[in-house]
Amino acid sequence: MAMDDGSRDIEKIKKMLDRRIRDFETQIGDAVLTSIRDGSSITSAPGQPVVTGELRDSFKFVQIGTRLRVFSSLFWAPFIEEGSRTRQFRIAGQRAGLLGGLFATKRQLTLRSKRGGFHSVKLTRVNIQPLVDDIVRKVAQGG
Amino acid sequence: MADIATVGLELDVSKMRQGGAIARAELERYAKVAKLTTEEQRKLNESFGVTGKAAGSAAIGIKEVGTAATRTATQSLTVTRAFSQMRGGALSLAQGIIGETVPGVTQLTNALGTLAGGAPLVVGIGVGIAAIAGAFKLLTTESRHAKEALDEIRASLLDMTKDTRQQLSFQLETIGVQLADAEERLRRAQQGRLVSRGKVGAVQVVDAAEVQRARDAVADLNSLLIRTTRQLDILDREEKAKRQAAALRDAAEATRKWREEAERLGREWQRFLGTSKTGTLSDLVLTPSEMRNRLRLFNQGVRQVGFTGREQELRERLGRILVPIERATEQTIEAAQDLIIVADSMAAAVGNAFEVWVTGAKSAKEAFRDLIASMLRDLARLAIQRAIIEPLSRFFLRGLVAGESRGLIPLGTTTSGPASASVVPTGAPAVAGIGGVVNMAVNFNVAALDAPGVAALLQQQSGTIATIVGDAARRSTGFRRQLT
Repeated sequence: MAMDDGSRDIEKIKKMLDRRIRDFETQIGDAVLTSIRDGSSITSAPGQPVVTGELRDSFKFVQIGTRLRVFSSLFWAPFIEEGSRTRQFRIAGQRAGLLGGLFATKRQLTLRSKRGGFHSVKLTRVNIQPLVDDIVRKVAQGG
Repeated sequence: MADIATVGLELDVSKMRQGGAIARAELERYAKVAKLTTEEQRKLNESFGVTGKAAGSAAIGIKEVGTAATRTATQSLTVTRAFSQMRGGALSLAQGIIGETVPGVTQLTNALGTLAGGAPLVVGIGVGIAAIAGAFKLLTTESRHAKEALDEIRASLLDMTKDTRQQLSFQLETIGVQLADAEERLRRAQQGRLVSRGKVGAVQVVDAAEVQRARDAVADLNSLLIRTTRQLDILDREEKAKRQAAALRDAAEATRKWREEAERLGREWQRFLGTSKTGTLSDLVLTPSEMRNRLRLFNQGVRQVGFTGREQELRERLGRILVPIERATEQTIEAAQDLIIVADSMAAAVGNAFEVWVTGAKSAKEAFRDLIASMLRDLARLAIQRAIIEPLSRFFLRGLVAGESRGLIPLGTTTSGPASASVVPTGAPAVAGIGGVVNMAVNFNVAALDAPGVAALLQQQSGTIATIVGDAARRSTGFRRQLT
């Protein structure tokens, strides 16, 4: 490697790398958003159940620096994610005593939508690596 | 984030930039184009952090976000902001002390120097008043000490802010609902697995259709089993519980550090209150009402956030931490009010005494008597401000003695200087109170002096002054305690 051209080449690599990283950040954000919102065969996430579309449309993708966040602000989104109202009843049950705690363990939600399902966020998290590998492959081949 | 996330994922892609798969792919492509040797490629990879087994890793940081984490982060931000406000208040206090005291002292010194240099006949007055300037210089020194103390407070607050951001924003983010839910989710997942196995065993094979239904049921149950297994993986059971327990311990450690810092802060404030003597506190940037507002904001900053479950414990800990800070702030307010009272009163007394003295409205003896009596009343009333009053008390006692030790020349009744002199120091127009000492326009009428000279007066009347002091001390039990 010619050293006089080396530094120039390294700068070019850095620029190219920055571009690729930006592409990756955008694509991984979109992919995670799609996985959580609409489902993904890679992560096996079912996506959000749709009745009015409010929950599905509530998921957003925000990037601050090197941190990407896909999230929903709906107060009931965690219960769809968990598939139960256990948490709320459990807290109430703990305060009420043993009987309330037992009562709290049997509050599973019923999935009425033909689309989507529960646990999309968790399934996306578990299977994030195949998703990342797929996007890295696409981005690396993109140049 | 602008929104309050109730559920979602957060990804940290910073690792991708250094040593990540994309970097490695890009470098490999360059190596092929440039036909690099293995050694050259290795060095190039090292320069981009692509080394060893980590090379090519596509790992990214990922974590779930939720209400508890957001609430903790909000709480952390609120506390950080409150501490930032406190830091701003401390700095304003320091700036007020330094910014107001030093120019005032300089102005007074210049005025007194002009007074001493321009009126030979009243050299004694100049030297005597120069002692006052010395006292105000003492205030300058003390204000520097106060600034040092405030710098330490500022450093402590910066440390606490940093500690808050690091300890609470990141470590406590995993505590809360996740920890409370861990056992519940685990039990539910395990229960789901057992139920699945039980149903599989209970299927009765009767015919082909039944076999098909059984196979479908098995497939469904297997799917359910896979999901529950994944949930088990998400929870990561014991290891996660250990991590969360460690995070709780870290939180407790951080809380302990907070408490220590808060106590140290309280001690620093006490030290600051015990050593600062400003003389111009009525002009401080940070008034007592402002300090109360800051205290109220500080309290609200912690209380406005709702807490549930285990976070209640954290809230209570924070509440305990705030106690010494609130106490120190209240003491600061009280001390500032006392300082304002004594400074205003003493400045007014000094100004009035010299005014009536030099204008001839009263004799020097009467002026000094009124001055000292006024001072003693203030000193007695503010016995709690021992550290601030004692230097001034020593000054007056020393000032009386200094007239002798410095060998002032008795000037006698004959005046050889200008019949009158008008000295107007530079600065703002004459105002009452503290500013009156510094900026007061002084009109001399030497002929109006009925004493043979200040030095002689001090020498001759020292017994009288001592008697006045003694009488005042006897009248005031508070001042007697102050002297003892």
